[in-house]
Amino acid sequence: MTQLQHDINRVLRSDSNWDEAARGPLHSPFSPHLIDFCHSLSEKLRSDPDVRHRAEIAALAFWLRKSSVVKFTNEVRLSPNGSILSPRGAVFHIVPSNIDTMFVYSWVLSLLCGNRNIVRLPSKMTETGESVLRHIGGLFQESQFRSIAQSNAFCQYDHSVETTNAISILVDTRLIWGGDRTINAVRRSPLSPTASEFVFADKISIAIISKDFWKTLDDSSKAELARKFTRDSFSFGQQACSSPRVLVWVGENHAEHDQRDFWGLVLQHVASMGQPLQEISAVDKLVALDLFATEIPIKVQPSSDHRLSRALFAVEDLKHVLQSEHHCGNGLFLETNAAAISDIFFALTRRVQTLSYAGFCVDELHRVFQSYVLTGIDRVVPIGSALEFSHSWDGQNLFDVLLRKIRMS
Amino acid sequence: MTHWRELPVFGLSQPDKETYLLPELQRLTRFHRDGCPMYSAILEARAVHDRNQDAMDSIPFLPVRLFKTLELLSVDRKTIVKTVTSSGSTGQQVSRIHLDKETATNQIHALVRILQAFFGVQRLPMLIVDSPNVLTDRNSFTARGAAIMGFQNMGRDPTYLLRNDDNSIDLDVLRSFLHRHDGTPKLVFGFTSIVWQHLVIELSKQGCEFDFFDSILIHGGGWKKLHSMSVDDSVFKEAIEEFTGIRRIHDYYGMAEQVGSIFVECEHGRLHVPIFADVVIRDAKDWSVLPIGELGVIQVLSILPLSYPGHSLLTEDLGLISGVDDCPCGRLGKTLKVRGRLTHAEQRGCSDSNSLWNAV
Repeated sequence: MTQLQHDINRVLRSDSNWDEAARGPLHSPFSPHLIDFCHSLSEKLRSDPDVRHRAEIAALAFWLRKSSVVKFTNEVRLSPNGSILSPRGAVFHIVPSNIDTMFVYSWVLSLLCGNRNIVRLPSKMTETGESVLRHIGGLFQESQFRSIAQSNAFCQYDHSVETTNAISILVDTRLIWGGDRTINAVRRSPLSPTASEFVFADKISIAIISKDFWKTLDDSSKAELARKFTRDSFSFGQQACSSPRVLVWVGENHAEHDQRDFWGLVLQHVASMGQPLQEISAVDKLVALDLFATEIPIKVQPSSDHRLSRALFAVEDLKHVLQSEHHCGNGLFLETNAAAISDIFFALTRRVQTLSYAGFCVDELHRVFQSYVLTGIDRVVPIGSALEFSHSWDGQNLFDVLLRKIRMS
Repeated sequence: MTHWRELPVFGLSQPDKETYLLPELQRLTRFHRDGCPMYSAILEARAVHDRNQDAMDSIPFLPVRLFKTLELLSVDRKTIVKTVTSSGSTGQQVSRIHLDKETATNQIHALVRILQAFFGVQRLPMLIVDSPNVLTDRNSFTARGAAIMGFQNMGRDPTYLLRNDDNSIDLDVLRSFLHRHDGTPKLVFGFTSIVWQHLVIELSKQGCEFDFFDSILIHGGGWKKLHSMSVDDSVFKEAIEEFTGIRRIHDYYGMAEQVGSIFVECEHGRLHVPIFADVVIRDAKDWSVLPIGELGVIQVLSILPLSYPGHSLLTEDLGLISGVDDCPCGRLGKTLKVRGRLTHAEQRGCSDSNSLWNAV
């Protein structure tokens, strides 16, 4: 057994250990040793030459630093409104496979709230994911984090209903990070009557760029915007729900030339990311575009490098595009034009998660959004911030989910 | 225009063949566009026009996977006489290919012509390494069943070697078949993985020898399963010879979406493209055409499909053109080598179908 494998097994614990974790010690929310643990993990990641150059690891390590943790927990720590904060108890995390580091965000937020945690990991971990696990395992061996190790277990198992049943009935909160099929499957396993559940269904995200704004940009600002857009959409193979898959150009003018410029710059950034094309994703995207073509009129744009594929469609079909299951990610964009932002509101259903924007000021967006009753959209963020993790996700504040507030008057 | 049935299957040089095939393929693109609204919409979206289809490699192609989700038909549904499904593994979606009488007849004739060109017109006793179950419904075939049906036209006394209930080998059937046709060459046909698991492995467990005399083995269906067991072409051939004595072993490449249009391996290990078909290797980067010898995604063209828009398909197989009009066996046209399938390298694929838990 390799050292890596050994450490992972240690951190995963065996099936018989998860129930120990579910009875392990609880901690006071945001107690100093929990924050120390996060900071130590951050340091381990930042000093690991194998992974520290990776963007997702850098982002995670940055988020885990003490100053960062203190900052994002301030809101809940400092304003309990006369309430006493207490952990929920045991939390069962079912995490996705599309984002290597997602399990850490879900787990760390719950850990900081003082909960016991059982984390079901994807059956196949990426190297990046395994590296993070290895560092968590290393920290669990240190004496000052002993009590954390006792109440946290990471497990991997196949679609075993029995195991899901057994864990579910023990816990106080269950978090299911999608997709829809997993949610439907896991929901068949009952929770205790006092337990609660939060799910994050499959969602799609969209970006908007103001045509007038783009025209005002100089070359380096154009390149910078394209770089941010590329990072938002290509970082996890466009598999993250918050990565834009649809781009809407907003404005009255004709902008075909500008659009070509934009995608040319995006392709340059994609090339500089150095990720090779997976041949199968070229086929996936061909299939997706053909399927779209049988349903709505689209114009497939010629592509000299299949890491980027795109097609134009009419804004009237935006709702159809956003509802469709055909989109497969990996650098596929459906693109349209709208005269005004309000022209896209009809399509923003519950399935739409993030709208990232460029060329609009927040006040303006605020005004426009407020004048409509929207059934969808959970976040509106500038292009470049689509992947920033926040404890407020899919319209839910995770601290509300992971903490109890004892009212006292 | 000469019908392909009147032309030699491997007798036209590639330039002559292309001169013959190109107008046929162009005509088929127009025919399917007129008959199949979904195909027409796809061409429209890709801005494909008649005027830019002036070479073999400019005939537009559909990805084969579309047949798993779309019902693509170019003729009146009432004229469909049978449906072929791909043999995908359990839980996977299968392709459904609808054939009218003419397309079904085309497929059978094509297969017969290929096999006669390879093995002569004499009908040989035929041993099928499969169970009769594979053909229970005469109107609906798996690709396996369709191949067996087609091959049966080539042989006499078709005999199924495997038992219906558990696909186990019936040694009594084998002994009596070999006895009946003692001293004559026979045709043995089966799927590659089934031949391995149910013939080679089973015979290796028997103490006695079986004399297949001067028989021919034809097998197809892909190597995915055998490669996962570290069995490659040479191991396969050696084992066949050891346990059956058969030395004339021919792999073939074909698919449910183009039944009849099969590429049979010659004695020099190359797969030969018949007169009514062609093959193009494409670069996944931009679908440009790759030169001889370079590995890429296989596109198959065939003038057989009339009832569905399957005359030009992009497969999910990797391969290379091993030569043009230059095989030592003397057969003309392109030759192909297949080198496996495209796969998702890791779990970051499309949606739930490839990942256990996806999208945040």
